[in-house]
Amino acid sequence: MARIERTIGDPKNITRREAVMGAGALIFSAFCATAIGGFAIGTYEKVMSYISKRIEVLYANDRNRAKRRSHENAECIELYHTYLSPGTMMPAKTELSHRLCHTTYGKNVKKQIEHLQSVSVEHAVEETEAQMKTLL
Amino acid sequence: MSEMHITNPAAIETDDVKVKIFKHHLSSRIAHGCVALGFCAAAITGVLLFLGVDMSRGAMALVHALGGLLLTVAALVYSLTNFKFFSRFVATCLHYDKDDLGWITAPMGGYLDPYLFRNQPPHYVPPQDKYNTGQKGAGVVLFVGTLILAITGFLMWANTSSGIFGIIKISLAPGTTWLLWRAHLLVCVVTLCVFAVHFFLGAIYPVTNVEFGTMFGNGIADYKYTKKKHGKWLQTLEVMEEKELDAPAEKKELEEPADK
Repeated sequence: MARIERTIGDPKNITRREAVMGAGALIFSAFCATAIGGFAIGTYEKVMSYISKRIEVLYANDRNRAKRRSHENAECIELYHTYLSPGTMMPAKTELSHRLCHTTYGKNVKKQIEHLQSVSVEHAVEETEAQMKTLL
Repeated sequence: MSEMHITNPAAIETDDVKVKIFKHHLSSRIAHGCVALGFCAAAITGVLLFLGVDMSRGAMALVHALGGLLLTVAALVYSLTNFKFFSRFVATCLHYDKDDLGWITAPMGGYLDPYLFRNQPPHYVPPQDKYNTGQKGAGVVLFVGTLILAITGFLMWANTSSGIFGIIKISLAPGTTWLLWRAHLLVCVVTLCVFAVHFFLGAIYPVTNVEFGTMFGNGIADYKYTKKKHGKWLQTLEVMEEKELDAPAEKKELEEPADK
């Protein structure tokens, strides 16, 4: 039976190599965190800066235009008065304005195409005239 | 595996001397426990979130974030307060020599011998350090993987509407968020694969699960297992404590009849 119990373990002190490796690991971790975080946040600032400039240019272009609202555009007014809603200006209230000016996106496009193909332009003109009689 | 002939006098066990190998300090065991708990919580909730399981996503996301927070803070505190142990661990994981090549070509430390080479004599496995080649490689992958998971995770957490507990709030571009999420997912898959092997060998496989008691118990490693698997490390160990055990009572009774 053993008379002595000996506990052994790693040496008390670390070598210079081990200390350098440990410090290197911590510095590497801090560098990765800073680099990735800096890239992520910096990318957002660049994107927002670009978007802000684009917004400003678009607004500047709009401010410099003589005709800024479609409902004040003489050609639009004439189109509605003579064809889309004869006698007055009623956007999106008549079948013709809906057929020619209404836009669809994505899944609704196919349905819209089928509807336009099923109803002729002449029928839309007749329906518009009937609608104008009730609206006016 | 071929057992190394130990020449370190401190590590030689005889009939009179019983050797106890102190492998993991208390701080290491506590840090490992916290990291394991945080990793498991984050991994389970992360997988549930990814699969879109019909459970409260808010609660799961909070547990996921807190698990990651525990994992990160435990590792960071350990590396700063126990710099010696952390440095030794990193240096061991990053040191490779011809014995590591021999371990890989064994193949894989001889673990695959019972399955791939059943009726053949076991391959020679060179003596290993405190951690064998597989453990060192897993250590490197888990260290780098957890680092990337923590960085991407904290950035995504701070990008949410409430930020990190309402204290840290950042805004990321949609493309950057997409990139961070993809990186988080990819590294998560790699880390989970490595963790699965680590857990299996450490807790389930009968040949190696003796290490489970070492890490989650009192930190004392099994002498025969260490001599067989980590002979190179045994050569470097120093005496920490030596105490005399009580002499056995049987010897005194035997002496009396001889005097009469």
